[in-house]
Amino acid sequence: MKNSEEQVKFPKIANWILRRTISKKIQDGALGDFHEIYFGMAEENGPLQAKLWYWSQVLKSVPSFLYDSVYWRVSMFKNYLKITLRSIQKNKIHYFINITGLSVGLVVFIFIASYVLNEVNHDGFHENRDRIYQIGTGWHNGTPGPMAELLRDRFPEVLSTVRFRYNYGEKNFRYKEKNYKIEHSYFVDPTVFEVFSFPVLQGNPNTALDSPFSMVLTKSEAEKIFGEKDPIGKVLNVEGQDLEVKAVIDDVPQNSTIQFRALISFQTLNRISPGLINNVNSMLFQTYLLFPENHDPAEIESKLSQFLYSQYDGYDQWPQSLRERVKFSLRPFKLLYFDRDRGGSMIHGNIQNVYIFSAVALFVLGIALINFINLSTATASVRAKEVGMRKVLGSSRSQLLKQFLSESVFLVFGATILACILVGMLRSRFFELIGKRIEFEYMFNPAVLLLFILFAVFIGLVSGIYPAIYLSSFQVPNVLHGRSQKGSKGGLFRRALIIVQFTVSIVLIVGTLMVGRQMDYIRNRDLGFDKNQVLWFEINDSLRNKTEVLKTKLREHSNIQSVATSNYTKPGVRSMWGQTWNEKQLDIDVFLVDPDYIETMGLKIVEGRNFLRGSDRNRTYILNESAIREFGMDSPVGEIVSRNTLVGVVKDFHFRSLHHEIGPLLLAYQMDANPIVNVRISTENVSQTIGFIKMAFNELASGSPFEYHFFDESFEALYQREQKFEKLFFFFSAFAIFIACLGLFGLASFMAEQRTKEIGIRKVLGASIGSVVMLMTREFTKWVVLANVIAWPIAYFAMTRWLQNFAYRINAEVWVFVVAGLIALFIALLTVGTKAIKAAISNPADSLRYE
Amino acid sequence: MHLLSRAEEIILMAIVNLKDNAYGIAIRQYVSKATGFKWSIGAVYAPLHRLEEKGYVKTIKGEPIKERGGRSKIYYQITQDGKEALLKLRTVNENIWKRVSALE
Repeated sequence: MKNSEEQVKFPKIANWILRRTISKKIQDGALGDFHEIYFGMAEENGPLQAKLWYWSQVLKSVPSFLYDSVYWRVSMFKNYLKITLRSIQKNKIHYFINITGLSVGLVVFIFIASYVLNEVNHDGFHENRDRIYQIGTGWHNGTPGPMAELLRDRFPEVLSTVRFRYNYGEKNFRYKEKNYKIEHSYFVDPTVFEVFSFPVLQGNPNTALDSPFSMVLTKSEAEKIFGEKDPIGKVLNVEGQDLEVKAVIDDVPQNSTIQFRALISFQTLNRISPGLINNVNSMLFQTYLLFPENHDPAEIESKLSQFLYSQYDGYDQWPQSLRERVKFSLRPFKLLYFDRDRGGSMIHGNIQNVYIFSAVALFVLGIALINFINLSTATASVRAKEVGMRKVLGSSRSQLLKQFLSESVFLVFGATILACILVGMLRSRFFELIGKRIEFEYMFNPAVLLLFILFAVFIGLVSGIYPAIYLSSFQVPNVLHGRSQKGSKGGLFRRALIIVQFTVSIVLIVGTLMVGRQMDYIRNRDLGFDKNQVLWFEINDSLRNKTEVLKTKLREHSNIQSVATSNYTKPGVRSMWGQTWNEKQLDIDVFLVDPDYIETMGLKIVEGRNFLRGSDRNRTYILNESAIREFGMDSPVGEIVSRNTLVGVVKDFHFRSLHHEIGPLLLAYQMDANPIVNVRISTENVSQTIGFIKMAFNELASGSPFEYHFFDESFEALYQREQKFEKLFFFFSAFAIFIACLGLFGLASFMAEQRTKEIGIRKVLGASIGSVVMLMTREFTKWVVLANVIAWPIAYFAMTRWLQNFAYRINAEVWVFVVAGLIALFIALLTVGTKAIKAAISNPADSLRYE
Repeated sequence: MHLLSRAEEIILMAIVNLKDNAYGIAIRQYVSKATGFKWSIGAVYAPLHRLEEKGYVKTIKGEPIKERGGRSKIYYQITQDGKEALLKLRTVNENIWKRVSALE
């Protein structure tokens, strides 16, 4: 027997299953029996039959086991659900507040999270995103044309290169006598489709940009120009050049950093301005490099820059300032979106905003969760008897925990579904608010849905755990005796939660006020010239030589006060020259202007004189005060700067956004060929005046479209990001405060209910309505005041950080904090007060009667 | 006092008859032989468990045995309550049988 037993193997898996499924109570005996019978059988009838028998026994036991466990669990769960629904029915307002608060919080959270994800995942559609680098240089990251080829030939790590050259300004695309404005276009190497992943719809991406005078359009531009017709092979005239459309690509997604409507082959540039792309000294091109899968950017960077420096003769002897200019670096493409200085028409994000909004999202979600916890705990006394009964009937604490956790998961689930519906309804409003569309399609992906469910369960557990522990800890004799539980005034924990909520709310109110005030400041600050009355428009080449005719014609109108030409378009576009005086070199912003410019823009000459028509030669200079300061000139008028005479000094004015200090500026005299006409008009009959300008324009510049802008609009455009930020901040703060108030309201009404009898007795004993209201609100007031004390330093720190973005900014004044605190206090008192007054005016006879 | 079920009665009597050897397999073999059909292990243990809960039998744990995979035999013994219940059932049975007249 011993021998055979050793030979016969025992079915371990079956035994394991049996051990799981068999009732604990008879396990000891029965499992031993199974074992014994098994070996008896194996000896008598062979191991196979024994094994079959064993397995058949196991399988027979499984169904009833499953049935039992599922049956009881489901029936318990059904009971929990029923109790939850009954409880909801009994306390409709309470649960309404609870679920609404949570779902509003979730809506805000989902929106901000999608915004943040969209920002962080910018350019995610490029397959090679993590392998692309831009060459950075001190020259606004412009590189000379031949650099790309040089690097590609020399370094095997450089798999491919693309050069971009931004085609400045709106360009006129002419097709069959009709003009189409296309704002963003680039000259680009044919390898663009190899490195980046812009999806090509029509045409061959590999050859589309191979030859000169070929171009690629985006889908919507092609549709705009050609309608239903096949665009491939059609010829467009762009500023005098005939370009053939070789391919059509899908519209550039909104989350692409590089934005364009048209791409023109790089070789075209070579034909238009020969030699430009081969000039080693012109830093005009953005160069992107593609590296292999496993690359070490730091290593490649040092190799590349060493090589590049070696291309310059005597680099080691260069002065430091010059070396700064050609400081090479590799800038990862995936981070380019958050980088301000890149050149070309690229949109860029603000990593700080991403942080701020992430914080706000977490704040709002936190407030909503705190509410949820608070309100669930507040109902404790209502549920106390239920808990007592369950305990008496043999419920264990873990069962109660399970009950309350499943209840909170259930509620969170409901809130999540509601939130998803709200997100669906409100998303177009949200897109309007942030000024871009975010793809929500990924929400319908099963993985994301699963994540959502997990999220709901997680939130349910997190927010349910404290109420569950609290509720299940009730002592049976106490609750059944009807003695109220501790915490009718709100336990320490609940109080802390309210304080946290209000701290967050106050921080957000301070933020909203400060952002608003800074924006006001920006709008109303005196820029040093009349931005409201000056409009500008662009003129084409042919008209540039007839500006005097146009100017004379415009001046005839009585509402046109002054007309000037310049090369300065909208604020934000810069052209800078290096200028030398007294062996001192400065990079200076340059405007080429005619003598009428100063008067038209409303600038003030503080020293010297304006340009003189006729007698001054081209390139006579006027500098602004900052430039004089930076050069350190004592008597500027008559000085020679870079071989040109300085005739005057103009008072500093803001030619860039208020993010930046006013830098040195040079006005250089240029009579002809200026592309921009600035017109100062009086405020009367503006539309009629503009009509007149348009007529005059059309008369002289037949064909090209007339588009005018006011300078105030152009300046506003510089603060788009801040305006979006302001609006978003306002809305999110409003939501946060709304949710906090919901919670406060729920808590206040609950407390009023708790103290019904107390208030009744007080009134019987002669308390006035006022004193009862005081009694009810005093406590809340204390909390809000404490929240203020905590919130102010946080808000101060956060907002001074944000204000650092602006060179010209408001101070963080004390009254803003006080006002924010008062607003919070007012809202809190309003919320609690309505409840308190209701409780105070109730008839004591009613409230005391029920015993 | 509740009456025993048939299965409980049979198993309880088997335990009495088996004396010191009343454990799972022995009981099962005994009742299978006596009734003429096979009892499953579960069919034996369910009434055994009920009897134990009612306090009619008590269990004694034997030494661990290798043939049982290192588990002990669980021996069952009738208690005083069990004896009384069995006797009571016998009285009831006899009372009723007395009045059953023409069964054949």
